[in-house]
Amino acid sequence: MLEMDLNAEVSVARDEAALVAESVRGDRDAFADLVRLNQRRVFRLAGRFFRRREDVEDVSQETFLTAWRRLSTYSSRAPFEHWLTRVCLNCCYAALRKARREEPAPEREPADSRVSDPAVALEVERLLKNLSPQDRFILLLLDGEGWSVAEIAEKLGWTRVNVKVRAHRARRKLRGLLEQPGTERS
Amino acid sequence: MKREKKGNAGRPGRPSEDRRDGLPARLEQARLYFRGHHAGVEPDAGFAGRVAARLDRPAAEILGWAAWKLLPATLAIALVLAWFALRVTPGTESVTSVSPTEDPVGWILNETEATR
Repeated sequence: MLEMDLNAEVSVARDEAALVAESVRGDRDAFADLVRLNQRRVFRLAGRFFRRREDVEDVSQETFLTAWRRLSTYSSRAPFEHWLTRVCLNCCYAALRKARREEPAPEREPADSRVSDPAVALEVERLLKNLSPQDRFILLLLDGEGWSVAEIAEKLGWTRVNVKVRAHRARRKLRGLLEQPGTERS
Repeated sequence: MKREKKGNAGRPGRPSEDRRDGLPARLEQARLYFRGHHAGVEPDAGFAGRVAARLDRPAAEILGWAAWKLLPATLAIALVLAWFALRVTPGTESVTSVSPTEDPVGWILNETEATR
């Protein structure tokens, strides 16, 4: 059973490698297949940072378009998935910063069912909007995706020290916001 | 004997202490919120097609496509210009048949005198 799974994985990886090679040569059909192969992964990651369907779709499209334009920079030594993850994270980061600059009307987000108290959930939602895109980004990767500092550094191409410093700053700001008056539970 | 401070002494808890006491719980709730912060959106069947439609095309392909699309307009303009050129330009017969004079220099001088 395990061997079968392994064989299937190897087959997918081989297919993916072939699709990447054809896409580098400019084959758009091959790239469309590559999109189909990775779209769920990209949507899942983009969905971590954006709530509205159109935002997730926009960032996912931007990820694949950037990947298409920069496909020649991809080194086949590393898995394509890692490279695409980095592209996606950079697109999400850029979109978060842009969204912050434009300051759109606050969207009504559904309260998270995991947080038992709806009032607290709403309060935390409000709090999340007060965080800068940089802080929000790093906290969503650490607490949302559950990645370690080393994983984030590897996936984003940042140094570990950089990730640690950003994470420390983000946690400090989060703590400061939670300590502010008006964030108490009633 | 220690004197108790005035103000909040004897009360169940001061607001600042309450906040500090509740902080770990709020941090944990924030962490839970981050963990649950997800759109849960799945790509639809047409997503790959929409991406493929937006892909950059090679320059040669774009030029070829543009030339093909502009071909009818180009032909129409060429025809109009040709028709206009034929209409305003005198035919070769009329040019060769006109011989103003045997003495071109004299003819030119006469013409310039006449126009003055």
